[in-house]
Amino acid sequence: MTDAESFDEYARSRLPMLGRVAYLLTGDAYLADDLVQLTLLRLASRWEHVSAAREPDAYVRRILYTQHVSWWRRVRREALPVAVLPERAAADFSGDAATALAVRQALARLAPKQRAVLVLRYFEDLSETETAAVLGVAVGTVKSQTRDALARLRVIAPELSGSLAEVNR
Amino acid sequence: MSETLREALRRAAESAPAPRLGEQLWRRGRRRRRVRRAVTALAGVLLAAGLATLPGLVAGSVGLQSADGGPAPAALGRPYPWQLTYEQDLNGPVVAAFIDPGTIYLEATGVLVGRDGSYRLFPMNPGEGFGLVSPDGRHLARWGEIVDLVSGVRTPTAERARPLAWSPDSRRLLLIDYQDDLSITYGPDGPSDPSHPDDVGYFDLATGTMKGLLTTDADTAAGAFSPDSGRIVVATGKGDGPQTLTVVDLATGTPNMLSELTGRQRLAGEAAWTPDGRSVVLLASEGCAWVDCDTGMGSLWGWRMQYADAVSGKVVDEAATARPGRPAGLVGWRDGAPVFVHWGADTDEPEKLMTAEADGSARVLLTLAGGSGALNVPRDLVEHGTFASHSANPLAAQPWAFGCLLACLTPPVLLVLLLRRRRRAVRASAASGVGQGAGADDLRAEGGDAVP
Repeated sequence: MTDAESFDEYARSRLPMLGRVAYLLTGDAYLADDLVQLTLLRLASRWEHVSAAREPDAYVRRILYTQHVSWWRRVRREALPVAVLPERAAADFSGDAATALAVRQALARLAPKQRAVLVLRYFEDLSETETAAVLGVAVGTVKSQTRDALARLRVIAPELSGSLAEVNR
Repeated sequence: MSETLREALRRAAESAPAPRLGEQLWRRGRRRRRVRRAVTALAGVLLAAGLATLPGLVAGSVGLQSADGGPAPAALGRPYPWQLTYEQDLNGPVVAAFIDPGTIYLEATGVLVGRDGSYRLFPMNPGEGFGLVSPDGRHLARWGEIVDLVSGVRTPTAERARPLAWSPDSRRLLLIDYQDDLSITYGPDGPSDPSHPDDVGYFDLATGTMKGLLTTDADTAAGAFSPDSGRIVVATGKGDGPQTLTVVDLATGTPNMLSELTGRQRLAGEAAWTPDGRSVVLLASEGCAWVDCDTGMGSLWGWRMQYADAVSGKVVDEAATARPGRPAGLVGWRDGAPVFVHWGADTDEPEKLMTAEADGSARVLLTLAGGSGALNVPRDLVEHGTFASHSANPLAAQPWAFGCLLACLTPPVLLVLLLRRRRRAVRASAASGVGQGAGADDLRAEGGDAVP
């Protein structure tokens, strides 16, 4: 199997999961797609090295999250022309769709590192040590970021307080 | 851990649209890889080039040799192109001055070597002469001015005055003030003759005044002060005609014409008077007239010294004949022997400061690096000093040079730091086992269903 073929096989197998993680991180379908494309592009440029190390998932995950954070750093410098403050969406807990929407809107209002910590910890189910390795930070930072993220979620999305209360237990 | 939050995230992720897999992704990745490698290679080359020049920068362009009296003569290295100028950091009095073509000024540039071995550039206009260093090394006499190399003050002499020689006490400067017209006019009687008699005189440094001595044609004049600074000797005449040797007593102003020089004779140089003040040294060429020898039109077989009596003008040949080399000028007397600056046979051969021993042999005192020229050593040093080797300090650089060095070294250093940081991060990820517990299978799983 050539490098191009092995890369293609790997990319196709990881595409759905990468798309979901990117969507949770960005909160936008187009941005999520761009983030995945950029991640795979960087992976392609280093494929021999990454595949030889037999740890492509770790590398891909790291690119995805760090790229997301650096994107946010660039974007936040740009002024957003908001004439009227957007109305807060009121969650309707009548169904799963409403919950999903509320989670996405709440995530979007977190700092990118806090968002990344929550996705890594509660969506990808990584340990604190593994999360710290992916983000390139100390374990203590992961703990504090998680605590802060949950506290902020309680403020900006009180409708999720029931879920969050269980998290703290 | 909360299954509820996990479930909420899973639900939120389910609405994610399926990302596309770009067709050109692999090719673009390869291109990115090539660009990255090219940049890395370029940075490596730049870094290697920078490091390669460092040893030369530190060691200087010429190795140090033993001083005068030892088995090897002293040597002067070439300056670095980015060397400080004398105006940026004065280094007078100097122990040597010369011209070097390899500087940022593209044209030949004057180089001043201070007593502390420091090198400073003296930028000049194209075609301009460098000048004469005073016997004490403090002043540089140039066309129309005298530059104090300690204070940087420039003292004007006369607008079209060319320096000929310093007095041994460094207080007077013999010069010729040209009176020739700068252009030829064409009238009904034909073109005008731009040539007019020129003024030969001396400039007194203490009073800042000029005193005239002779008015005569002096197109290619040469001159010298007597050892007691009481008399001068000048060789004057039209450029294509015979030169006349004249001695003038400065106290009385009385000129005494000694003799007319042939084309194969010329005044030896700035220190042409013998130490006893009784004779004036002439250089006699063998094989060609001096004007032809200097321009390469004739082949110089050898040369010898002649002593012209300072009163009667009677010329006596020295015992030695057919001395080798090409003498540029007699610049002093050391242990009774005349010291000459010798030109190299070609442009790559270094100029040397050599004694001319009575038996016809020569002893090298100082060697100038090949490529440089117009060596000028203060007379006091030639006659009484000790010669030491000097090489330029690359760090005595103009400010822009440091900026260029920084601009060259910063990108590769930053790149290396970035690569190291990235490699460390990848290694840390692999070592922590990330991607093993929640790795391939979990990533394949739909929305975290496999998470316990």
